[in-house]
Amino acid sequence: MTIAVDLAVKNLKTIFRDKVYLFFLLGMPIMMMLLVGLAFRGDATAYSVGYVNNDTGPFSQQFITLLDNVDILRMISFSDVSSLENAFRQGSIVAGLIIDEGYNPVTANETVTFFVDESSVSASMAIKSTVTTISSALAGSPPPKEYWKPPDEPISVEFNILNFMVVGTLTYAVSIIIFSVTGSIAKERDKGLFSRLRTTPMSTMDFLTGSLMSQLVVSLLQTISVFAVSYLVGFRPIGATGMDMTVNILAAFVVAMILAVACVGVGLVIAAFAKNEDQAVGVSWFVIIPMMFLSGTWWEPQDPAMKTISWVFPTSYANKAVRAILARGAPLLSMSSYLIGLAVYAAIAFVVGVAIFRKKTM
Amino acid sequence: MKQIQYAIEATDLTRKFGDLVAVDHINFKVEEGELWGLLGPNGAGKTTTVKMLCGLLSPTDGTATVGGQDVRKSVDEIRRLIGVCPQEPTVYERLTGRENVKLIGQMHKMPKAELKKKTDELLEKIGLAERADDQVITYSGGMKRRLDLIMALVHDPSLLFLDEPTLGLDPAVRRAVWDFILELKERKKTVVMTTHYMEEADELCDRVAIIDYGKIIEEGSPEKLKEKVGRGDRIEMEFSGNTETAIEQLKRLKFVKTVATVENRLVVVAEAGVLRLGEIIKTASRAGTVGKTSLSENTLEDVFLHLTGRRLRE
Repeated sequence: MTIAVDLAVKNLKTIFRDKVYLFFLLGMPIMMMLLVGLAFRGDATAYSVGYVNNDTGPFSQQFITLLDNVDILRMISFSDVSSLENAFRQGSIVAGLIIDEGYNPVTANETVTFFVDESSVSASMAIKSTVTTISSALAGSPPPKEYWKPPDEPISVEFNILNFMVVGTLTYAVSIIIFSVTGSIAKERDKGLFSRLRTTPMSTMDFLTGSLMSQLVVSLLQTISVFAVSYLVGFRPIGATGMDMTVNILAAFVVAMILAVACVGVGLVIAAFAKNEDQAVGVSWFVIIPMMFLSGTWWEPQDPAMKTISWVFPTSYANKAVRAILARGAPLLSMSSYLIGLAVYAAIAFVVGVAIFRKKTM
Repeated sequence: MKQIQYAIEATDLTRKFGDLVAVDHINFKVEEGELWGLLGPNGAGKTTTVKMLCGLLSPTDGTATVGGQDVRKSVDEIRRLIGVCPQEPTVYERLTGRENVKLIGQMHKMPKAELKKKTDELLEKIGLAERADDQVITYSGGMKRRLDLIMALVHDPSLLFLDEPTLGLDPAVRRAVWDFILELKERKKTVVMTTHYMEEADELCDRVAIIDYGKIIEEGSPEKLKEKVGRGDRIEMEFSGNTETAIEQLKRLKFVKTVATVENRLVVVAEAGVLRLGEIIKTASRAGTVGKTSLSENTLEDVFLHLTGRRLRE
């Protein structure tokens, strides 16, 4: 174990003395978080949502009133479907609701048509989330028709685009250690440094454990620095009123570290197969970019097939878990299925990575 | 009668890479405390042999023992015994010289105080003490090579593998490295050295094995090898004319040991060549025109030329 620790210290020295490398691992995620924060902070934009209400009963009007009370929505009435569609096509509204006659919260799925401009990822997610939350809240406890009145307290809508993006940037920062692992290991192999160490009593397992330890330190520093910057730009974890979020923040760090182990495993597999450093770095990006696009880092994939494929990426589990923990105040244990999934992924990826690396380097 | 202890014994040692036979059933023994050289041109199989002995490559066929340990079965034990200086400078450029040396000592689990003492001592001896705390990225090629040597020696191994230890070094640094290797010899370290510099093998090695196309084609002390070609002087003449006739006529001279051609030159090894230079030139002139001529002592280069018909650095 002492050999692995000595190797980890050596790795950290080489990383921290290479300014370009250091910028890539720490500076770039910090810069990205800063830009995401600046782009999405501040008061949420009010999205214009058009509607045509063909129902004359009390529920539909109250449904519209509740939506209008949400800060991020501005409800605009249209007299007919044609003018609503025209406004949508012209871009003056980003979403539309058509409420049929006989609307009832329980039967909302059959009596409400809803469409949204999918090209605006943030608008799409924010509006969908809000409409679904309010509709579900009404459907969950529908009052008798004759006594129905709006709830005393406004229905809490927890969606916050900054929080959504911050979590994605956090997991992205951790996932780029795939590049770091593959690059550094392939470089050591290319330059004969790994062979030189193998002429000493160092085992391959010592070498890989040292690599894992140093990458975990880098990931921890990435997570802390990115999280600190997110705080500066206005990110605040959201929990229930009065809830102490310390545990959730620590839980998010734990998830980030499990994700780091998984990424090191993925990196080892790539490094084992890559013939040289250039190939290793190229293949890393070939993995990191689809991971970023498909695993809900900055948007959720819509296509069902892509949603299924996204589970091959460890970031899919991490995004779901961290987003629930930090952006919706979910208790850690309620995310156990994602956490178990991520932990199993990390264990398998690391063991497979070690096995393939050992086989390929013998 | 004292029994000879062998530090290394190779039996039919072979390594193939696909269809290419890099090392082809070689057999040799290296005595304890001996400085043994593997001399051959680039691509002859020298580095592959060293890699098999260090446990970095598994033999395809045959086997070897290093310090009594089988390279197929006891790689971990072998790695505790050996120090290796690879062919290319192999150092961490973002670490300082001292940190590089310390790292190898740590891999050998040396006690801290001993490691520090040994590191300081070697850095001082090899002339890197002043720059020991600078990052290696600022070192020259010669400094990196010297650092490589220190890294191979820090844990005081009983057996050293030096793979082309002076490759690419300027003459002054090469001389310093030679002195250091000779010092190791005095300290009775077993040293296996590969080189394609014949003067290096000649100057340093107790015994030399000449390897070509993966096979050991001759082995012995430099003196004995040179005797096989024929002890004498080496006369190299620029020549234009009928080369075959010139060779034939030169070979008829009783004092001529060997004759070979290298590009446009005739290379003649002759007994007391200094005294018979005139006769040699006169004989060659009958078959063509003799130009610039040089005279030197017989070398391992001539042995290689005699055995293969090629020069070492062709």
